[in-house]
Amino acid sequence: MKKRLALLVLLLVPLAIWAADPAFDTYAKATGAVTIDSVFDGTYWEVVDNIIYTTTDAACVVFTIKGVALMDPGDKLWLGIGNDSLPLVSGAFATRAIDSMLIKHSLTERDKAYIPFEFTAILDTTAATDTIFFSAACGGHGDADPVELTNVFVTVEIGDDMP
Amino acid sequence: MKKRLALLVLLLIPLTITWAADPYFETYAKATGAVTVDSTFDGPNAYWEVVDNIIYDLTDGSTGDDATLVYTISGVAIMDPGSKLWLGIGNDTLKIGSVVFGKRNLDSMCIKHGLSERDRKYVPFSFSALQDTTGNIKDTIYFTAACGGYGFFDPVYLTNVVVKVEIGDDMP
Repeated sequence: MKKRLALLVLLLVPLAIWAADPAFDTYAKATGAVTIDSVFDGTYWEVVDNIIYTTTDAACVVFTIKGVALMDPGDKLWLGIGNDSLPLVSGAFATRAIDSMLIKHSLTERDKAYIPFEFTAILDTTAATDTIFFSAACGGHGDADPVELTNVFVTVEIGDDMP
Repeated sequence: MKKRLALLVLLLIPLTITWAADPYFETYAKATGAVTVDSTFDGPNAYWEVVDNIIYDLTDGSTGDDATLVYTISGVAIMDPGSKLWLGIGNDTLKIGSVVFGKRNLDSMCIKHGLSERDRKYVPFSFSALQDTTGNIKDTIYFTAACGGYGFFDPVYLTNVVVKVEIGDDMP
């Protein structure tokens, strides 16, 4: 009986730890200032930063990239979030397999604009350790003006699996 | 002996759950609301007007460990052509007369609305800074702001300002 109870204790402790598994975790990284000078060409984009997360259970993972874009009239900024990369001749490039978005400062504007942005994508996942790439491109379709980003900040928030 | 072991089981379960579920992940938040920023920017090394502050506490024993803190200030800036808004996050202050000014030693940023624009603009913003810290710390974080600078003195109105401190595990 004593042995059984001792075994029960040994079993229950890890079970209790598992049950109390901290499903809520946040990873964050201050990237700071970046110049995006890789021109949009429809495929892989320049990697701005990456962040590694680990979940021990089914989870809803929220990726966010935010900052301020300094854009001249006519500038375009493409932002992407993905988990696939390709090393090219110089630097790492990544697909924006999870989501992407475009910010455009119209050519008819007369001044440089400071555009604060916040871009979020969601991924439902099972237990995993993965690297998420935040990628960006500028211009495209004949335009090649670089875009400066300041105060870039990336976060990964892990929540319980969505019902 | 059986009773003791049974008691041990009953004690260990909640203790283990409490320990394992240790709230490394904690959020402090404060709705500041509407603010007029009329303190003029006077240089990158000076102290700025405090918009709000928030206190976080890692001294309660359960979170006495290395942690990554994410500070965020979000809201909407109402800006006239030529207006500039400077935002800062820091943990150091200076009292000048009866007014407390804060340093933005953790991070700062600038939002500018071009002088050649023709209309007032509503600029939503979300600004974050990061700090790695060890446990057993209770600290006050100051959200500071300044407007204009370099000859401009236009105040900037902020609405829906919310400040937040998120405490997470130490980053790998």
